[in-house]
Amino acid sequence: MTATTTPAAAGAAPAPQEHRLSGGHPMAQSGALARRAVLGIWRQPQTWVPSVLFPLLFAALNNAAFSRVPGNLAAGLGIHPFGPRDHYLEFLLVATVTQGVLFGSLSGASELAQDIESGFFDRLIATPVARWSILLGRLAGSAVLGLVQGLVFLAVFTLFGAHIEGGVAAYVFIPVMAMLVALGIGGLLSSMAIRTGSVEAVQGSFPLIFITLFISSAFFPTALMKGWYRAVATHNPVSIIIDSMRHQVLYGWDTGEAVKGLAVALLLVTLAIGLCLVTLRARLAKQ
Amino acid sequence: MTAATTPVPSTEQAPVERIGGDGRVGPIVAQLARRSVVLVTRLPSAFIPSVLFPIFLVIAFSGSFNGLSRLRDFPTDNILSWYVALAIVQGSAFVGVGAGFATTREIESGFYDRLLLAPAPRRVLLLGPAAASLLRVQVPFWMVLGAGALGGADMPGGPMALVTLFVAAAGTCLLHTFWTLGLAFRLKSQRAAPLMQIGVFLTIFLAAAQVPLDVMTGWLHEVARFNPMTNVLRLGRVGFLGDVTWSAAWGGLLALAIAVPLAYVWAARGLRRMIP
Repeated sequence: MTATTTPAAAGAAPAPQEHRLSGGHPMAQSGALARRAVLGIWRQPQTWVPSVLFPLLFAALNNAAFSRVPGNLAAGLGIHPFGPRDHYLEFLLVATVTQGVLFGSLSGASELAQDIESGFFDRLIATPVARWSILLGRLAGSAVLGLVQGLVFLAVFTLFGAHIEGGVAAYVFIPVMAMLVALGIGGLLSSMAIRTGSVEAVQGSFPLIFITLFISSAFFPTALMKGWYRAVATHNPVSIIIDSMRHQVLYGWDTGEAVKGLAVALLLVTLAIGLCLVTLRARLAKQ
Repeated sequence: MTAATTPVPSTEQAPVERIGGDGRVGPIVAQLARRSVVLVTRLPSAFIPSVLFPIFLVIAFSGSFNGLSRLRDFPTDNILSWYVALAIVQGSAFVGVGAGFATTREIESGFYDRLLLAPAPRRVLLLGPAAASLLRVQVPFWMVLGAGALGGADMPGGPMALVTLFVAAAGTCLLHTFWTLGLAFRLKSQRAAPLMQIGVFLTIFLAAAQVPLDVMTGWLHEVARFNPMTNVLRLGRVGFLGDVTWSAAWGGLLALAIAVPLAYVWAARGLRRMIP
């Protein structure tokens, strides 16, 4: 009876292992897992809608609160720390992109922790899929979300009157940077998810993200800050990334500034993915 | 045989000793408040954010927005004097949210059903958490005040500045305690937490929180002008920006005198819905 149901015994050629993700090539596996991650985010609006809506809400609030500040400082003190056009909305654009990307990365890492909590991650690990493909696939979800957020925020701010001095190059550069930041911060948070395997622990890192963003040049220029706060904000890597994007918005395209921002973002991505792999190895060794 | 073991029904029923039935709810409220304060030590993760967040807020706002004090329309040249009161009032609101959140936890775990069965006047279930919140609010109040003093915040209004700030903080705390209790009684789930927190952000950040009304523009200026929280924040800040005057204080006092009883009614009606 068994013989009749076994294809090999019936003389048929061995069936290709279709269960093996996309033929087993690690890049194809990453692609399939990335598609799953992107679809997972898309099908659960509660994971991405807040990371688009809340930054826009805060942007509306901050713009209404601070939009007179650049003009007042220019008229009273003759300084232009918010750019040559003294336009707070344009100054705020990059902060909103970064804020949205940070929130989105948190959601992505929470999804990974959720996979670990539910046992799905262990099932993936048990399949013949390269370990780094699993990670890369998951991080790709955050990266795509970051790219989309960058495009959406650029569109919304342009609709509300923000002028992007850097033109098309800036319109391309900012979403790409958003994607890299999502990959970098998403990677750091994912390593926390792998280490703890707890959604609560990942969500608990929110204050850290908030602090990193606030003690930077995101919402106000560091030139207007004082003392230790100014020193920390100036040297915060997030400030370097934000300033490189902001320069393209306020002053026009500058390759040197773009390269500086890209270098820091790529360094962050490399560190984050390395940390993720080390954490994953440690987790598997423990199991 | 049956007749011998069955107690003979008495014509006179033994009086049921209803706790607080004599109208003295104070001891029960004190016990509920004590229980809530004890929970702080047993579940610190639920309380610590309401202390740390305002301290971080005062550092972040005064550090990031330091340049605001250079504006012509800004009422003080010491940015901490502007943000200390905001951080304390917001921290107090979060203490109120904590009361609502703790109640949803007890509703989900079933403990609240036991509280509802207790032979005590129902209003103690509102007054107990309110008293606990007023005790808990002391922690962010004094800690943020201490952080502000260390940072060099001015208090030209003297001791009266503390009184007006405490009234604003305590009133905001009570307002959010009753508001979130009302939400907890209606939604009966810890999933109500984001709704409770959004209430804090909406009431405070749609008021003259980050900058004075004169500096705001557009829709936010109009909303903040009519938002009663603007008056409450003015009451809290008055002694940090100059002498405490009746003209700066009365609006906040009136706003709290109206809003807190309304929130109490909202919570009481919610509690009534819970009782089958």
